[in-house]
Amino acid sequence: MKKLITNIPVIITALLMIAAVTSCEDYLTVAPENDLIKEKFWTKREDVYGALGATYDALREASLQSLIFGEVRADLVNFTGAVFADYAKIGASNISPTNDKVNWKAYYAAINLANTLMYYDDEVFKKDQTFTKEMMDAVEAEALFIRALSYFYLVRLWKDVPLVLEASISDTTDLYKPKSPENVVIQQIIADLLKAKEMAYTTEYKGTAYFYGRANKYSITALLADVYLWNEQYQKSYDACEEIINSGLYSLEDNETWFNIYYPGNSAKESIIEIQYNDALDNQENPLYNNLIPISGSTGCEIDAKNVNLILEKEDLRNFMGKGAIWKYRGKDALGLVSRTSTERDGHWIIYRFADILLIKAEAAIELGKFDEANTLIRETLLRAGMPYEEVYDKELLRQEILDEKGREFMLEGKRWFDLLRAAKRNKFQKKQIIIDMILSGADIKQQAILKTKVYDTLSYYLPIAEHELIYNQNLVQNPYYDR
Amino acid sequence: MKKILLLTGFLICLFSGINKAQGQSAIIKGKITDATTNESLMAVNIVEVDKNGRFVSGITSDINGNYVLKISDVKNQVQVSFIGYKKQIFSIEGRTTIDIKLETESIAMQDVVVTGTKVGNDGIVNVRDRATAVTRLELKGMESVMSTSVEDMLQGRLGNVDISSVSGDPGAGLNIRIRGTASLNARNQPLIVINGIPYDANIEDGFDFASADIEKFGSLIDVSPEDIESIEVLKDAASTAQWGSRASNGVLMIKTKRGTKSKPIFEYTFKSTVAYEPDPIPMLDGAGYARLITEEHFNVNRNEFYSQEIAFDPEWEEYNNYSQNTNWVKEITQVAFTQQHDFSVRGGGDKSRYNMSVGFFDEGGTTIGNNLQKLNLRTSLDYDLSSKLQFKTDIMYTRYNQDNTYDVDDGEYGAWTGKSVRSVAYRKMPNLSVYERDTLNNVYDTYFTPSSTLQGTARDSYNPVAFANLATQNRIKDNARALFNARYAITPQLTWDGTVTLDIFDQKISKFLPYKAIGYDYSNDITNKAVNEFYKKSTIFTMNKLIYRPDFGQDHDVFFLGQVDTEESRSRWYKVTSSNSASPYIKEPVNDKHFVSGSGDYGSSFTEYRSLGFYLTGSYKWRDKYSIMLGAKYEGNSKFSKESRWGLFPTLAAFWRLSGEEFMKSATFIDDLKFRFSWGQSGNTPEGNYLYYNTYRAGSSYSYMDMQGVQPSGIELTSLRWETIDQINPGISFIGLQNRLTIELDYYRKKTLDLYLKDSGIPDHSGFSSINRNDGEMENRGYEAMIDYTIVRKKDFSLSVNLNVSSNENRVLKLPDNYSLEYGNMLENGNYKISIIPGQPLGGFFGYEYLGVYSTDADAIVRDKDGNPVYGLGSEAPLSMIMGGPSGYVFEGGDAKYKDQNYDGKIDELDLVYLGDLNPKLMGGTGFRVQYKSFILNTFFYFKVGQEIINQTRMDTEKMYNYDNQSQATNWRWRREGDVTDMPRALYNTGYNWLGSDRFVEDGSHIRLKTVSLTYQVKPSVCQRLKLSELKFFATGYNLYTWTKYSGQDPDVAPPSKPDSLPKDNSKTPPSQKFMFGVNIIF
Repeated sequence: MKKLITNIPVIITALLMIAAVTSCEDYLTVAPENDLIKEKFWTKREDVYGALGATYDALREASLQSLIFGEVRADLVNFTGAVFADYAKIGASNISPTNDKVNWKAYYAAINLANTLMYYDDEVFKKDQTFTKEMMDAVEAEALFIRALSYFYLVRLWKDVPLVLEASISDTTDLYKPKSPENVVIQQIIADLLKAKEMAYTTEYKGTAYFYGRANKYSITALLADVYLWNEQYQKSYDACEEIINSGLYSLEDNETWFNIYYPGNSAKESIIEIQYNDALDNQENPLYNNLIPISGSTGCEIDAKNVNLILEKEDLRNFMGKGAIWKYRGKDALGLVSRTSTERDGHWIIYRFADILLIKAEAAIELGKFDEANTLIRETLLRAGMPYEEVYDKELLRQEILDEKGREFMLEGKRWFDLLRAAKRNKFQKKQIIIDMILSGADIKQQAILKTKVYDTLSYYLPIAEHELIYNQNLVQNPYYDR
Repeated sequence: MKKILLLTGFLICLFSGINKAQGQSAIIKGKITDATTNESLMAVNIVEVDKNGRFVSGITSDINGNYVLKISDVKNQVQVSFIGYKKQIFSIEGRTTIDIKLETESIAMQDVVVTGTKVGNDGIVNVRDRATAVTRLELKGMESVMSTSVEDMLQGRLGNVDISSVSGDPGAGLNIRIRGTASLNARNQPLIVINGIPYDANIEDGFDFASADIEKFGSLIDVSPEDIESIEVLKDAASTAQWGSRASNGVLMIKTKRGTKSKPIFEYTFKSTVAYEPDPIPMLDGAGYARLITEEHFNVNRNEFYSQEIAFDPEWEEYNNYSQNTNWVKEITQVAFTQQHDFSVRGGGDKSRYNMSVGFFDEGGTTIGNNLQKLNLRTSLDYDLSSKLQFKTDIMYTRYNQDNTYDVDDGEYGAWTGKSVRSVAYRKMPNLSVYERDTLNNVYDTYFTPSSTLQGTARDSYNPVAFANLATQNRIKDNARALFNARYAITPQLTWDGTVTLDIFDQKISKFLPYKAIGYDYSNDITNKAVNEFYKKSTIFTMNKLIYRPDFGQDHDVFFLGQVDTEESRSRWYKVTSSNSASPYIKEPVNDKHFVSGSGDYGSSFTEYRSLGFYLTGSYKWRDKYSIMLGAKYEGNSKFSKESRWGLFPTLAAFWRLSGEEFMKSATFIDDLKFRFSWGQSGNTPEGNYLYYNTYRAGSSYSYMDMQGVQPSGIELTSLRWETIDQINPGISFIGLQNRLTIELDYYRKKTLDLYLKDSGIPDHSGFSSINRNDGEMENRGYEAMIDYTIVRKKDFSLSVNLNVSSNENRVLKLPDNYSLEYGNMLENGNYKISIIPGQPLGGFFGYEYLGVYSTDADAIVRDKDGNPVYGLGSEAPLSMIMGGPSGYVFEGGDAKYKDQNYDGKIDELDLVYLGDLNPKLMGGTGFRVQYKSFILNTFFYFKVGQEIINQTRMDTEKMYNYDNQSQATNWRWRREGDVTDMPRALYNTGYNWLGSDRFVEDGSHIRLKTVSLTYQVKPSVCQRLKLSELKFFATGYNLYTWTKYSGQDPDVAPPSKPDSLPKDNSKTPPSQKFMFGVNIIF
């Protein structure tokens, strides 16, 4: 007995050691107090909308880049000055994988947020009864739209890209994806959009900024029409446009009010989807005001007068030449008289408006041989700009006409390069001369000799994968054009 | 909950030792007298002691030496003790009156020095029987007296312990590396253990100033050298295993002095030091500066440059303010004085011993505006309740009060970073006046602080004297630490030992930048700027040990140890800043109107971690010949996710004592010879907590319309795990020639597995840019040799020498293919390329090969392999050399000439060569000690061989590229066609004359006479007359001379704390020459 008493400390210590081992997991679980952790985050409806907000914000981050990529290699805008030095190199087709701006990060950030949202919304659905199935579907539709739009930019800029459909949640996720061919990505985009179209709200937000600022059924359809056009599925593109037109929700703004689509934006008639900015809110000011508009003499971005004059008549309402600025992002009125101030940085970045639908439909109609209808459609936007239109019935001439009209209508809306590339690549790059001529005419004589040998390779129309990406992901293969 | 459980167990263990025994009581009385003089003795302790040696009751004798004591059990013994007399213990044996005669104690009242079976700081294994790589430094005698700090005392004395001070300013941090750098991103500093408990004064990662911390406020070992009894360095994994993860970079174990059984011993030490700074680099004077600037511009524009500020025009009203020859570096330098007082009292009786000390330290800096005051209080008490149960307690308190110049290294203003007073003093225009002067050249006592000069705004080129004197930064650091330890012998073989420590660290930094310091007016938002920054950290550490040492007879020595330890550390930080305070006398950030909202100006943060460790070890020794020890540490840490939280780290150590074998008995010159081998693994955790969590952040920067955006801030790192260090260490220990010669030889190979890669890049298509992960291997290997030889040991004369030499070779073995660590844009001036490549050592850097200066324009042409000029297609003239950068600069006469390694006519990244690395190939120290009668002479040399240093100061003072003042070496610059020199021409903001090349890379090998110390010990007879037991006077000189080829001020450059930084000599305050005088009194 005595022995047992003296051994009590031993026994207790031994018991404690056992107790320690079994409960030490709790002892060693220390959660941060400064940060919100995953375990505490995905519980309420509001969390889903918070994550959705961040996903749109990521798309907005990418939008500035989209705008520049859509113009920089094309012919209507020149980028100069220190701020745009790297972009200027891209514009001059002098692109290296070490160029800082050859970066797809912004698009994939949006894609990952969309994927994360779609992964976790189901958990909130289980936990929060006020989060209905319908709400969840609509959120997923918006996420799918953002993902599809990001991929659509990626394939148009890089051609073959890694197709990431799972959220990067933990370091056990496969973070080292190889490239997928362009057509596989396109098929995914189409599948996503068809699915999203079914789940999205139709006119739920009608009359509010959400109607223009967040994806609904018609914005999804508009994107679908554009993707079909790119993928040379003209009938489907045509049908998608029909659907939007027939909804009766949209029409063109008229002569007097047409500048409202740029300022203040969110046109009740014409807007389909615009990335929203708001100067009154923190961190939601439109950066275009600072980045793209030359302020007090510093140079940055200017209209290429020579090329613009080739397609844009002096009388055209859309001609803002001589205003010394990119008026769409700077002006407050159609006459070019009143500028926005630095506290009015809330113009939106237009993804699709009704004019897009008309011209997408026109382009599809040309390819489908419906020249009459194409002529009618092209006339509409010209008419609004106060310009006459002469009908043409030659397919090639019509193709040129639509390319020019798109150039006029969407100048500096980040679409020109993609329009040119689409025209060039149609039927297996049958018209690559369009791009070759454009690049060569823009280059100085010294460079022309060098470029001549390069521009015939259609892979040169796509960007290289940034060098650091190739180091970090050994499964990636460089665009062969840049490997030489 | 867990804590309470552990604590309860602890208390139960304590009180179970006090089990009352019942018996027959009695009363005894008697008288106590001195055995020789027969005088009665007052206040003698008479105690009843039970069979466990525990005190049952006690009483003291009265003024006549009489006592009466009630005994609770007649079987118990009575113990009589009195300081200065021999203790007596006897049984009552039925007596009731017992008179006692006490005999005086004959042994001297001094520390008893035990030799032979010295017990190590772990209290378990004899120093003699260790199989691990442990270096021990005993500090009895001279060493502590000679040093002003612990670090100072250790530098160069211990093999492969690289201690370098970050700067010579008081309170500056230290960089300690034991056996090289083992990790890329995790902690590399060794663990400091004071009296058996880890001591962690590091500021947690993730706080704003954590990165700058090492520079200004390193984790100093807050123990006065006077308080230290011994220091041990544990280097191999087998010896550090007990201490767990944070010990993977080695352990510095410090044991402080404790009381011994003696009458009170008072000790007082006084030290006074004077410090001089070595001569600075000679800089250009006013006229030389003006010529240089004019030339810089002329070489670019080919026209005269005119600026009123350097025109020396007597007509100008500011002429007197702009026509001086100020040596700015001298102006900010001073002779510094330091004072140090240490007082202690120690002693004790049979049951309790005590040691109390107080130290005060006041150090001045050689750069004006720097000083440090430190107060140390320490109490340690040992109480033996019985022979079975003992208690120990330690209470320590340290206060730092440190003044520095306003630190601009905190990222407040990007462009301002690194503009320390000393570096500005080197750059500052020499023709400016320190104080304001009027047109009649009257000098006022106001600093001359124009808000902008030719050199730019005052932010970049302030008046360093004004700044150092007016812009203040004060740090008050309080560190309190209490330790409670109990030890209970459950049976003679089994002992339980439990410790709880509470450590509180509290720091406040207050900064103030008055407008006068920089010359800006009130409205500027950096004037009258006040910053308050608080940091608090508390750590609770518990350790429970069971030690079992069964008795299997003489031939077998066995012991087992089981240990559970826990640690919990919580830190909190916050910071607030305001500016434009109404008066320079309001130095607190109270101005709510100008609450600065720039990045890093305010913030608050909290972090916490916990760890839990189980350690089990067993050792067996047979006949003093063979020994083997096996152990394992199982450790969990809150920094990792559930999946990878636990690490198991085994160890093994063995020795064979050759001298114990029968056939070696005849070799009498060998006292001890053993072959050691150890192997072990240890784990390292990343710095920073909560890394594995998938966290979300919210904020306006992620918001869209009115939707408050929330997004994940990182990927969940479930596979983040322990960085494992695997180390083998064979060694030989030899003691011979009647203990006069000691030799220790060690070889080690330390391999870091699962290298922790912080912020390692991942593909952008993941949506993130980097993660932390474990992948890769690194190796450090080397040898250490230590020799201690007492050549002569006689009564009046002794001479001993010691030498330690060590080498460490670092190599990155493996890195993942998709990992890249490259820094440095080599198409710009001033950069070196760092690239971590498998097969190369960490810290290697690349640059161009400097070939001198092109003498003429015609020289600056492209040449092929054979030296023939290369002509362009259809061109008559040879091609000129160009710079590969975007501007394609064409080299001309007077420009720096770099080797075109690939003969392509372009200087670019393809022409880079490997220039070296920062790791010393060899380092160590040597010294001798001579004692003649009462004099002791101690000298110590410290050396490092073979590390390359980038002399950044030389680059900055020879680049001739902007308005910075330059060194007098630039007087040799190229001026006109045909000049042959090594110094390129002056070019304002143009050209590539200071590309990172071997021109600025120098060999930092040096040997430094670190200390020479002379001590005079006053003869015991004189001491006795003065009623003192010991009296010593000493004088020490520090850093008296350095033999080196290095051209900068100090070749002992601290290795950078991050893998992406370079070993740069940035003209920090160099270590000064110091002379110290002191006295040590014991009474």
